[in-house]
Amino acid sequence: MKKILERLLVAFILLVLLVACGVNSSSEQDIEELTIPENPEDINGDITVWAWALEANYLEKDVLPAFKKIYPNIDVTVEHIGVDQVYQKVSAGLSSGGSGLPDVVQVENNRIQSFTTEFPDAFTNLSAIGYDKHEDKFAKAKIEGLKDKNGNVIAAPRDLGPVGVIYRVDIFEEAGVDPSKIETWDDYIEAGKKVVAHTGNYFLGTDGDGLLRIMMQQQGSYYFDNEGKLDITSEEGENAARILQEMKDNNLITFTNNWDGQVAAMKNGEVATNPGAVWWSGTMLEQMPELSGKWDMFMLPAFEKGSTRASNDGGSALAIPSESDNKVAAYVFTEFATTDIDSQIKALTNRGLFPALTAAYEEPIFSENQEYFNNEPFFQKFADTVENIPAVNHDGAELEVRSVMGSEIEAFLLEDKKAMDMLQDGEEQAIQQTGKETTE
Amino acid sequence: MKNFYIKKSLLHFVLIIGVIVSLGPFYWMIVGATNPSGDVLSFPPKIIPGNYFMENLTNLSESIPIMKALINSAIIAIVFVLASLLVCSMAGYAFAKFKFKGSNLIFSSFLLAMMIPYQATIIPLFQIFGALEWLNTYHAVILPQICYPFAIFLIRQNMKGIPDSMIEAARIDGAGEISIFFKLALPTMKPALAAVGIFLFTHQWNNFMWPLIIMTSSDMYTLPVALSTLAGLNSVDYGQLMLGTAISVLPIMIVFLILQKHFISGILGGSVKE
Amino acid sequence: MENVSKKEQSTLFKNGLITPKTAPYFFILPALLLFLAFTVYPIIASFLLSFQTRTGGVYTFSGLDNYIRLFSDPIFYKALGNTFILLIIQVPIMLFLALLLAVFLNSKLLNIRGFYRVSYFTPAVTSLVAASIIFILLLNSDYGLVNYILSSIGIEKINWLTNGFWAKVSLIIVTTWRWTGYNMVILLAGLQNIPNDLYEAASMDGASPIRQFFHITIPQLKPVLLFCFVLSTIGTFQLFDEPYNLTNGGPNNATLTITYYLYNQGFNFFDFGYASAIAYVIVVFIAILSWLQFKVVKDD
Repeated sequence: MKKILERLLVAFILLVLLVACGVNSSSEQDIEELTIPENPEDINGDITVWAWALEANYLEKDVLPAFKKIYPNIDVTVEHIGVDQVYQKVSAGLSSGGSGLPDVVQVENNRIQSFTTEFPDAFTNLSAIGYDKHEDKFAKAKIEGLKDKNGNVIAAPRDLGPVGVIYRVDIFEEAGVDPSKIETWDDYIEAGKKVVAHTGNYFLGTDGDGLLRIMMQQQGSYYFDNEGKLDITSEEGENAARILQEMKDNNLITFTNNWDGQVAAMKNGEVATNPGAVWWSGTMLEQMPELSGKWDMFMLPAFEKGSTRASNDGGSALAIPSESDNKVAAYVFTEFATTDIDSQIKALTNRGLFPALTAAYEEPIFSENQEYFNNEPFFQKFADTVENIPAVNHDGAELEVRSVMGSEIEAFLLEDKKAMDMLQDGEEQAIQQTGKETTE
Repeated sequence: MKNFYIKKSLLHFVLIIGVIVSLGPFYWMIVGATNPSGDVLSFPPKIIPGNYFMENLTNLSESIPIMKALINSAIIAIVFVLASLLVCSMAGYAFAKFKFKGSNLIFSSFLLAMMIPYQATIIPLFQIFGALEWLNTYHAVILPQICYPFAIFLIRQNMKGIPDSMIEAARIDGAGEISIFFKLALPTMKPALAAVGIFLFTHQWNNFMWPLIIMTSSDMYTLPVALSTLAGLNSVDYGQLMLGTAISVLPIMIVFLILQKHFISGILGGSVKE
Repeated sequence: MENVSKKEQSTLFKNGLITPKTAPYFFILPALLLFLAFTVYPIIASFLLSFQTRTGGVYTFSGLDNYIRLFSDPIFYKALGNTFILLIIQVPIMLFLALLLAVFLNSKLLNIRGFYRVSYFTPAVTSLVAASIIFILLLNSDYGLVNYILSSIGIEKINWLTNGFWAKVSLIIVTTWRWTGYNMVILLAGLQNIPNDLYEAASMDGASPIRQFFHITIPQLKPVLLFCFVLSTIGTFQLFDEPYNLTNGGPNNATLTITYYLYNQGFNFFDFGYASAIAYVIVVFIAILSWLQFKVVKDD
């Protein structure tokens, strides 16, 4: 009996090896020539789209009806999936050779490169199908981040996260602070001292390394240089660290722990400002309707008088996994969902998703006064900053480094670590985690 | 007699505190489920249920196919429990009542397998089902864990309590091995099967990562997977999420209520004491 | 089998193929086949993966690189340390509470046990996603209910989730909340197996309830306690849901558990080779600890 068992075991292991090799050897992808038929009605078939929350609602309820009028023979199923879950499923799918993936998937900008670094053939090259012709319709900072190493667009830009300082009008008035006078981060800190002295609360909250990234990108710098080397302890990084240190020394900044904490801090008046992206408006309208009329925005303070007052935080794109069986239909859907101006406007009005398609900024909705935001043209103010947003390199190792810096920010805000040490230690850890080199 | 009542009230007092701690969060869940989404975050916190239940229910059934998910979860959990009970009790019976070569090796590899974090084996498992083209099917969720080492272990412990003489007597009467198992061993195991069944049911009912990855279309989602779709990048609808979770807890509480009498006596049978 | 006649077939089952000697293999077969296909294969595949690194989308054999990297990875040590802290502090607290509740519930003074059992068991069967939202709100340092109550009795506010030490405490609280009832149920079953005459004899000898607890209950319950300890050891090394939902492993990795770290490496950074290496180190730890626990109990 023992012999039989042994033999069975050996046979089994051989089988395992065979199967393992069989699955792992991914078939070399033929470079396929895709041509889009002239007549929209000639394109047919079923496609599946994965997206989360607001974007999923946008694609299903705003895009689909208009899309169907032009492409009546394409059946689109939009699957609503949670954001973490989209990535878990995509990771599993790509790691096992592409099975079970949809035809179109929503991906955040800062994730695109980590997918393409690890899985070079993960997504379809959109430039090859003709997406290049749309390139200059988008904010440069956005579309640059969606190209692969050869300059091909691999995901179509959807929403953008231009950053400004969202602030409480009523609290500023009571504290006697004039937001139009805040031009630099030093001004911002002075204003913060006044407000905090008045309210006894905080001036701003942060739940991770978002603010650091915003400040670095504002100066045209990032965790990586253009070649992908680590560049955390750059001059720009140190400028940001100096400001963060001052915010902390003056008790202006509180650690809000996570998304819910950040929302609650705003809702409960614990913070008077939020240097954040325009997409906060959606959450604010939904979760804090009682604060209508009390919020407005001013541009991000500059590091020096006259320098850049724009940055970006977040935003996502639509990509077509290489394993899609119906790339033509997937492409025309992606193209429509990202370049149709009417749809972009619906995304903004119905979902609070700010389009990366700059042509849309001419539409009247942008110049309209928003009741919730102090009767000011809130969206126009953000749109005006878009052309100044510096493009930076979201490297494939972005997630590892963000995870390191997130921990370092926590050590800085909660454990008395100095901001400069935070950069230094963060860079060392990032080297250890990613095996990357640093700039000189 | 007075002493008796004091002791009894004291006992109940301590136990009730335990109940408040255990069920407190569920009370909050009900509060959240009956109030508008943003109210969960307000201060001072709301502590009484609101009147937003119907709105949350309507919103919930609009945003996720909650009924379909409930049906999927039920089908998967029930088929899984029945299949696993059969397979595991056969194995447990073999380990408890037979001496055979390889028995120790197999039993200890079952136990050893429990120690490996499932996150590490998900990808190869996914590859198998991808290669078989079984993605997005019920059996893809059910099959991998039918052989559930913890269940085999519990059943083995219980089966040890069946006297060998009973089995021998049945053999002498000419009963085949299979009928001995089905007609003699299994019927004495009802409490144990109820207990193991509850463990299996709760395990499968809350199983999240695997059905999430293997189910590719929303009409196949189980409850936890469907609920996870309510969380976006910059938005969570708390009212819907709380209501959905409350709905998902109810069936388990009912199953447990029905079976709990057998449950305690069935966990360890009479034979943990070596 | 096809050319075996029906009569022969039935005798075959009765006396031929399935005899008392072959029956165990027959009974074990379905479990074994499923086990080989859906457990052993993935384990071997991921074990092989732990000797490979991925560069530019292709896995290449790299010997022990992943394991060597592991032993010079400060975050791995931090996660391992956190896991051991939980193991040393949380598991005994939880099992003590579970035992206490089980003894109370086993008391003859009670007549409505079912209600309590269901109440205590419920946290174990709830998905943590919604429960953790509630805990996050309850434990919020500035407006959470817990600090509100503490401040009303004069205790200064505690940064439950944003201080490394208190975040660990919070994780311990939530893990204990979730799993105490589960262990209680198992211990209760063990208690009911202790023969009543042992207690009766002790009562006659005039032993106090506390003395009875230490001299009868604990020794009699030893195998069941051991069982719970081993289960909890495995559970602690595989702890993921709780830190994932409650603290995201923060602040500054204070609540990062070893399995959470594995998950991050695999599903966030796509390094399934490294993730697999972590998994097998976890297995070694669990195996050693379980063996030690058995040994301690046996020697006693």
